[in-house]
Amino acid sequence: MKPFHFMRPANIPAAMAALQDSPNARLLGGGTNLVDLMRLGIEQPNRLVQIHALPLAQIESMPDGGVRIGAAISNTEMANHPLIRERYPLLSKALLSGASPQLRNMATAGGNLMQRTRCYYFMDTAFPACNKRNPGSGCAALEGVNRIHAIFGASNSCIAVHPSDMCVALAALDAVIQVRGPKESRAIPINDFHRLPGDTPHIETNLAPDEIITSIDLPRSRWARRVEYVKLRDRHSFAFALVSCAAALDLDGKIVRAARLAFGGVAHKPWRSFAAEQLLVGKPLNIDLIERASDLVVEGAKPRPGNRFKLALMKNIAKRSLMSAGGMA
Amino acid sequence: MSNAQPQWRVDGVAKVTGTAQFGADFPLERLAFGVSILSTVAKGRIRSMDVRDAKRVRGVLEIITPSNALALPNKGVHPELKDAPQIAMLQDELVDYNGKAIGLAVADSLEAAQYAASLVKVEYEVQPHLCDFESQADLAVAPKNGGDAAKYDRGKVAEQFESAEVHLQETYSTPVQHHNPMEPHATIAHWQGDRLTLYEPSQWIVFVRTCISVWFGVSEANIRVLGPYVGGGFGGKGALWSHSPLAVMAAKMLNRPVKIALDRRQMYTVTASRPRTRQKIQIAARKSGDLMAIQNDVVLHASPQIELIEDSGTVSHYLYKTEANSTSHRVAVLDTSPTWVMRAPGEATGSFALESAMDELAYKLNIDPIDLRLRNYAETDVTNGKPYSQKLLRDCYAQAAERFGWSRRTPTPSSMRDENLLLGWGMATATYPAYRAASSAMVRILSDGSVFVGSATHEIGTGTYTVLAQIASAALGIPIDHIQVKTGDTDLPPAIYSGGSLTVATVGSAVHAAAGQVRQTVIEMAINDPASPLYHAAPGQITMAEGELLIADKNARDSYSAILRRNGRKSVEVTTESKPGKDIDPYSTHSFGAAFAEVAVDPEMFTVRVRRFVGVYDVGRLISQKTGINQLAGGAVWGISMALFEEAMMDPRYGRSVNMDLAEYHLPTNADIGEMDISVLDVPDFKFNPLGARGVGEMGITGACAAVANAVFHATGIRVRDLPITIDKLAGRMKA
Ligand SMILES: Cc1cc2nc3c(=O)[nH]c(=O)nc-3n(C[C@H](O)[C@H](O)[C@H](O)COP(=O)(O)OP(=O)(O)OC[C@H]3O[C@@H](n4cnc5c(N)ncnc54)[C@H](O)[C@@H]3O)c2cc1C
Ligand code: SF4
Repeated sequence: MKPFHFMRPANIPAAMAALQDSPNARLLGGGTNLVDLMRLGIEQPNRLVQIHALPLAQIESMPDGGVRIGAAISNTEMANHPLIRERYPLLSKALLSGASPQLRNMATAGGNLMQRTRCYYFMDTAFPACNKRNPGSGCAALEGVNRIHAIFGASNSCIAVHPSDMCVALAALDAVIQVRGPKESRAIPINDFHRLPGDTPHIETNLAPDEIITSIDLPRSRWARRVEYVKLRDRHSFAFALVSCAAALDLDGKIVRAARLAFGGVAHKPWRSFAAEQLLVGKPLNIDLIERASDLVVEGAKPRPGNRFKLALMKNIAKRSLMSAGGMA
Repeated sequence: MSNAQPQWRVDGVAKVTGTAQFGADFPLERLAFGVSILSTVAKGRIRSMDVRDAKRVRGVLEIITPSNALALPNKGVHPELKDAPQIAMLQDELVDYNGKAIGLAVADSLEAAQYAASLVKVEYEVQPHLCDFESQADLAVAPKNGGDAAKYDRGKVAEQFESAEVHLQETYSTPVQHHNPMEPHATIAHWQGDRLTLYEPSQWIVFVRTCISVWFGVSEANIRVLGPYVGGGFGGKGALWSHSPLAVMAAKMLNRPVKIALDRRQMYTVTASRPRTRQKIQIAARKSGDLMAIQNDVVLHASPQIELIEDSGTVSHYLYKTEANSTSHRVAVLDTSPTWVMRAPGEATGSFALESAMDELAYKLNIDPIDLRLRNYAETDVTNGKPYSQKLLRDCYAQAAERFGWSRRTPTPSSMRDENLLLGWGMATATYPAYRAASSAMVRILSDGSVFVGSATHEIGTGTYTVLAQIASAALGIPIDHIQVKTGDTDLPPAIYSGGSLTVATVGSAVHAAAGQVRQTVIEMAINDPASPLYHAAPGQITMAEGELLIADKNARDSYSAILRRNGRKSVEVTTESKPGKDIDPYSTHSFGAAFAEVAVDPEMFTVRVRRFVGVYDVGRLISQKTGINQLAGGAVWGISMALFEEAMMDPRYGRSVNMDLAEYHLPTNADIGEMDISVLDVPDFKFNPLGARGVGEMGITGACAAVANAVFHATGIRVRDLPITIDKLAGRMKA
């Protein structure tokens, strides 16, 4: 791989400075994605700024009853933390369905948010056409092997999906990403954090290159307890989702007060099914309602020939997740 | 169950403590590192390679390209090396597949070599390529060196089909699969003057020596190949790939030792794969279930580098009793990396298709799948009329069915459930020929009572060290911890490749013979030695145990070491060759088994999980309980993997697979494999060889694959004839 400078700043201003005076610098979390991409020649930073010495490794309870997760927390620690297990079991379950224990021990919260797609053509520089890797070069996946690709929100420039499990749970939990920039701090709702590909698939998030994710904030929420995360993949462990679903329900007796339904493996970002959520709200939860909502989740999908099967998967997984979240399975 | 000794692997401690030296593990002074530069187009010529940036990287020693590579005799083209694929040696600018080695960056660190390799800018004169199996399959041609595989006919197939009461015709296909041994291929070449030492994890070191000798014009006497430990091969290490001669070349050019270790992705194109196959099977039968004829017309792909025939059709020649049989193999040559033998080449793919077809026929005829097979049981080898040296397949079916609980199966698809899951029970026959060849081994006993066993065979993870030690121990009556085994060194007596599941039968027989001769020699010494308690004993009376020769009922005993010392001998040593004799000619030699699988299919998620697998095999005598069962279980896991997971997905537009890493080329995880119940009949087959042992290495992958596919049908009523059986294939066809 290309030689690079390695830095381990002890505080955020120093990290910020390190990012600013080197335009091609990258933050380094666990390195489970970035280092792989560097080995493959896909990322070629000239400077790595490791985040482990930064004060970002706490999980704390917030005054409103929510939880703040430091960006440098490992996926393992996050998944097993009592506050997360108790208040946000959905997040715990999603995390534990991802990767392998070894990877989760290394991977950080910030790195997981920022991880890049597993599109085959993106991952191998020998393929000449990939707009994400090499803007303007085309998209090999459009007419290629695209069984793992997007059925929602894609463009003719890119049909890649965001591979994270964690982010699907975050989308259902209305997480807020706290970031620090050179001038200001700001809060980005999870739904605005990742972008759809449009004509600029190489710009994947709304995070500026000189901003640092400091924490993921989970607000107190009434739908964080009746939840389910179901993940479908090509083998029973250690594979990315073909389709995954996070369902969360707030019930008043039988009546749905609030609902969240988010999908992984179907779009360039965690995909909320707002129409299905709306359908559920205000009605008594029963099989019929769940089936109608599940039918709705595929509305507007634009599959490719290689990934049409995701439609049936998405419907069924929505149904199963809602049934389970609603205590009906 | 088996009487075999539950002997732990004798090399287990070395392996888990890291002292076992695999291919890349030899620290040499001034070792340089080579990293291959691979083509990124499928066909054409290299117009130019700009190495200027690469050469500027600190630590770079040389960038070798076709323009400065060492010129080799006859440009490295030697058709007389029939068993060697033609591999890249930088002797020309030709690119005939995507991912071919077209250069080598050499540096004093791995990192510098990797970085330099990435900086070489290549310009190609691109030519159109053909990599689309689907479109080429219909244009496939007869193989050049096909022999029987090109066309095989027994009896009058057409007549049988005309009078058939039931006719089944289906097409099955299998994808490109890769060997993926845990240990990546790695080579270290070290020249000292005109003598070359090559560290090469190989399944055939003697042939490595031959190839390097021919390619570089160096006498075999000046080449020593070492590969004491091989971290899996599965056939892929039975040939040399370009990194080996490139290491030899670079070491020569730079006058220092050079190591090249392929990374996982490079292995997918620098080494080889199992070819794609498409098998059109036709079966003629009577309503009673009696088979009349089987025909299998196979198309497989090959590369321009070598025409390797994965003879999927051959299984149907003998697996069942039929009046007639016809098979053909045709080849679609694609511009891809070489295809090569991979665990049970032919049987793995062929038994999937045939045993799926048999299951389909059983449904068509409404006959239990085991009964259909018993009805058509081939008592003798129908291809030549010979009896089998031993065939106990009936017992395998019976024991496996009993262990599995087959009698509780209801045959209607989707009729068995566990709550919301559909259960499927499927079975198939496992089959692999029993091979034995010529090989030599040396056994030496020293006056301290310790024994050295040596042969230029290989420990490829199969347990060779353990099994050879067990064989020598049994033949000499010397405890196994007094026995040291050495393999993987061409200075040892020559042995054949470790492939075709023949190592135990072949090299084991040589060790057995050499040890027997050593024992005889020492017995002679004892009975002619007036100081021995065995003086004047009849040799036939003498038995051995715990390092001693004894006549048990007379309580007369003498130890090997005492006999040697009294006779002034430091050692007794015998080197001998062992090969099958004429006594085997009247027989066909073959192993069979029965494989049963239970799958659970989630009818809404379309996921398949193998919950239970039962395999019962007849492999003659099982010499090593642990390593033998381990081989069979590993094979069965691979069969399950073949059914459900493995596939290199080729994008024909680029001539390149899109999933060349272990994240996306899926192998099963522990979560994917349920309970494995593997056993053997353990009945010695002494007609086959003096050990009574046939091979175990490849058998397991056969049977298991079709058993799973058949179980998926039983669960779902959907027949997936195109492996692997993935979620998308079931989702498209299943009604939730
Ligand atoms: C074989 C394999 C299987 C996997 N399977 C799954 C799976 O099933 N499900 C799943 O969800 N994931 C899976 N993963 C992905 C894994 O979750 C990610 O690699 C991991 O979460 C990335 O975290 P990291 O800390 O290692 O990130 P790094 O590799 O260190 O960084 C990734 C990116 O994040 C940026 N970054 C890191 N920290 C910050 C910060 N604080 N602020 C701003 N930017 C930052 C880096 O600059 C970089 O661009 C798998 C990975 C592998 C290798
Ligand atoms: S889908 Fe996106 S990432 Fe994949 S090849 Fe197309 S542009 Fe590249």
